Amino acid sequence: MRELKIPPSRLELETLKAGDELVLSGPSITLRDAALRRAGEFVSQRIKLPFSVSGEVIFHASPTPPKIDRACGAIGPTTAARMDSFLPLIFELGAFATLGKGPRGHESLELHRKFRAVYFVTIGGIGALLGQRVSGIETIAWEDLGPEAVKRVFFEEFPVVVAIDSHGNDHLEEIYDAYRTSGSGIS
Amino acid sequence: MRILSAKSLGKTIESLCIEISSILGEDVLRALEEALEAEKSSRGKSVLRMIIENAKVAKELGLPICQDTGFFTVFLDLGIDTCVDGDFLEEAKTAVSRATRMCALRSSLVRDPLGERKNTGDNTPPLVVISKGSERESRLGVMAKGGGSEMACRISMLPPGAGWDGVLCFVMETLKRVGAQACPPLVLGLGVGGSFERAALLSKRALLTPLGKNVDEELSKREQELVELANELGFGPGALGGTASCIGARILSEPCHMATLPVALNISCHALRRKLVSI
Repeated sequence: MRELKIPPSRLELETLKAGDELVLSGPSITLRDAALRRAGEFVSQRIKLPFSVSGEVIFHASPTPPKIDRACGAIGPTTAARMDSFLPLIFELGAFATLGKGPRGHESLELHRKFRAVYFVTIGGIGALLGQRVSGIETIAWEDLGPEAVKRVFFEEFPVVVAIDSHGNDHLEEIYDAYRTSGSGIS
Repeated sequence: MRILSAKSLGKTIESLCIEISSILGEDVLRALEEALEAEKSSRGKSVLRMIIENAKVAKELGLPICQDTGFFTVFLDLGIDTCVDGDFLEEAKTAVSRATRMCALRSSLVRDPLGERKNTGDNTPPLVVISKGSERESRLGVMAKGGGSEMACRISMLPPGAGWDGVLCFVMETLKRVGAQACPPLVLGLGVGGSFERAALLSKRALLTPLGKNVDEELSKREQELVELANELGFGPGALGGTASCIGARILSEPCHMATLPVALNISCHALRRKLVSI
């Protein structure tokens, strides 16, 4: 499977197509509900964030604590649609991509086009397996948020699919349409 | 009179919490294997293989199946002439806390939903449902449910005239809107009847029932219909497209007021973690 090293070049990013299956290698930053809410408050109060988002992949995730002798516990994506309202913030701060699970809202397509950003998805509910594709984790800010603290997560061939590309193409809607049937007439 | 000790129930709760966090039930694994057989998309097949492989890795290494180790619900069904000696709520709470520490589970609960939302640090308090049954036997069950699938659950008070078709429309509307966010292939728990709050509880209890054929012929047909309909949606395994969007449905039904048709849909992700034992 094709490997994308983080950070990718502008060209590499723009040639990614919705539906591409890849493995990611390199660093990412976790940001989800509580941390995103706080980041929004910081920005609106013009307080400098204690970490940089520029040029990063934002992973909507919150892993389990690692067991002794392991780099990582169980880790995996959380529902990205819940973070849709924070997408303008994430992209304005300079992130080039987000990583989560499930479809994002339709309104997010235009944002991806505007900021030339990508949305990667991976599989939820396989945290034990995905934990083996992470070589290290460290908390970098807001430890008081517990499992939602901001962490740096290092990927090692972490499997993803391009759900929305930098041109605003939506892979998931298309693939659901392809497999949708309506034998009953109800759906 | 049979007297159960709260302390020993606590020990059982602890071991159930530990077990379900890392070991997927046989019935769920079987349903996943069957879905793998039936899946038409090659990507869907490969996702299902990863889900099954994940269950193996979690069991072998004693790792949580999913990073969202869930909100624990403890079900205690007391049989006839049976009571509990001791502080059951406290024992359930400390049992969950011990399991969280022992298995390095994620602490996913926050104390004050509208306030600071400070993490409770040990997945306590668990939800506790105590009921009195009409059987001799007593049962203890534990379920761990993640936030993603919980966010997809819905309840509706349908007019009685809506009937089964109305229920199907409600289920499909819900699934269309949020099913792909709940980690398919899903398991559906449907609570029909009772009252507003009772239907919701029934829907959760329905998920506690082992997957497989319902002994009630009519409900069995309806469960099958739910699965087939959900599989029309195209979400597929991992919400990455495919034909296996649902691996099972269970329905629990109770009498209701003549003016109502309460229906609750409790959606579980593919990592349906629960176990019910006789005590």
